[in-house]
Amino acid sequence: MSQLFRSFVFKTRSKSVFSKLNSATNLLFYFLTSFSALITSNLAVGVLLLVSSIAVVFIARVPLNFTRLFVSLAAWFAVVLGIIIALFGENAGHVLYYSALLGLRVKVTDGNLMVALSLFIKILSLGLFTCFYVYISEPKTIVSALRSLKAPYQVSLSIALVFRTLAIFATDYTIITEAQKSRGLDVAKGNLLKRIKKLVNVVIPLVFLSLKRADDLTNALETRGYDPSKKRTEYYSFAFKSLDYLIIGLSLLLLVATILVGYLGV
Amino acid sequence: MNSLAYEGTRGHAGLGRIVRRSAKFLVGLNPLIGWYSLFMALPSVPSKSPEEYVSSGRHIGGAVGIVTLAIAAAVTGVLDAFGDLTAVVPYVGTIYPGVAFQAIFGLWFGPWGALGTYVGTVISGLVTGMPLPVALIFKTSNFLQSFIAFASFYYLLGNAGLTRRRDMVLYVVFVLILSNLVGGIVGVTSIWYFFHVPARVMFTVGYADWVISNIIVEVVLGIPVLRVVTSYVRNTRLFYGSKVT
Repeated sequence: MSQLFRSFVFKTRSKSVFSKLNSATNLLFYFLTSFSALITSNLAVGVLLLVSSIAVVFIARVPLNFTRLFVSLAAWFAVVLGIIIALFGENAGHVLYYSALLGLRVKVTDGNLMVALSLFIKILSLGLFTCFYVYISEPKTIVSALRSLKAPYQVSLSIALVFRTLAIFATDYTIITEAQKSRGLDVAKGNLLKRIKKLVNVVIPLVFLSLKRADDLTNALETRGYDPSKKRTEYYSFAFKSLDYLIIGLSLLLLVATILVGYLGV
Repeated sequence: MNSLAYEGTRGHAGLGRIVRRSAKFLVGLNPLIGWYSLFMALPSVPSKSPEEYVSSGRHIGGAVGIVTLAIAAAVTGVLDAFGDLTAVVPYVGTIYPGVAFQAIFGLWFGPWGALGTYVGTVISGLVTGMPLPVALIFKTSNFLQSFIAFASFYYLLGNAGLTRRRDMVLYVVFVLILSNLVGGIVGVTSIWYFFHVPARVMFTVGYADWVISNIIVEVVLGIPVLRVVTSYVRNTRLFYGSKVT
């Protein structure tokens, strides 16, 4: 997970058609498509969304090693949940295997297998959509997306500060961990309890550093006369173009179609 | 263990030394029993009259509030993403130090800290592969855990430094037990709802796993950090005006 985190904070992005869109469009597109994938329980719609997610990742020119990270994480999650559903699910269907040992009932039905398969496809497509969005988004584009969506300035400023400090603390965390390792305190060694106890020696310096940085940030904001209640003017404009409206419209259409197929059986 | 100097033992050097030595011995003997004994062996702080525990009136807002939110979010996000110790199944049954900091930031920074943990865990979830719609709902469990910790200590006049036996009882009842039970319900329900995991697995094994793993981290990591760092945080502008001064 830390690898994904580092790549989000520090990576450089390649240009694609999505980098020409308004950042709010990308956010809405990601949110609506992933929400469609999340709510669908129809296998055919799930497959269609999986194909769409692969196409989106391809169009956004996401590198293969970056995609592999997300796909492996999603597949891992999907396989474990799929096994749990296949063995312990309560879905009706033809019983393929049944056992009850020490009160633990295991019943494999073809209904359970179908739900497990549907879930596997759903999680993969969700993983790919998330991979796409994390790849195309830089921290500043997420903030400008919030500004485009008319989020209050306090919210977008907070998120901007979060992203700014995330990168700093990610570096701090690595430096502290390495420094403690050089003193003979390897957080990765020992049993679980020992590792958690060792982490005290990493997180306490991190907290002290963060408090110091917070003080600096507050002073910086106050010396620049920051007042959340004042109305602000914009240096940049975040206008929507016709392509933005088209993408948002298609995403909405997809969501509506998913709801109609899944819940109303159209 | 010497770093865990206990404020309440000032003026009782002999007693403090005995307590620390016996705690050190017990911690070395068996980690879980040792930590448990350490808490139980702590003497009470020389008592203050209830009138002394009044609101300091230092409730933060404006620039300080926004910075507090951002710092809480960033630290939680980094620990959430980097400190994963047992990611057997992603998002389910993981032990990571970020859990302890949800409560800690709630206790130090009040609602700003609770909001910060929510924002931080949502962002961390997103960049580590959790879909945004799921993260927005699933991570409310983290917000609730943090907020319950804040509300219980704030309204029941607890001291985040855990200097009295009463504070430890509050920490155990509200932070370790109640907040994890409530947060666990939200988290487990959202996984059950979104991913159709059988209820008989999710609300038994999954729920127990959630609560127990969180309690372990909040005991082993949360208590030392609160005891060591709170006195420092209290003197910064970020500290949400506790009713205990």
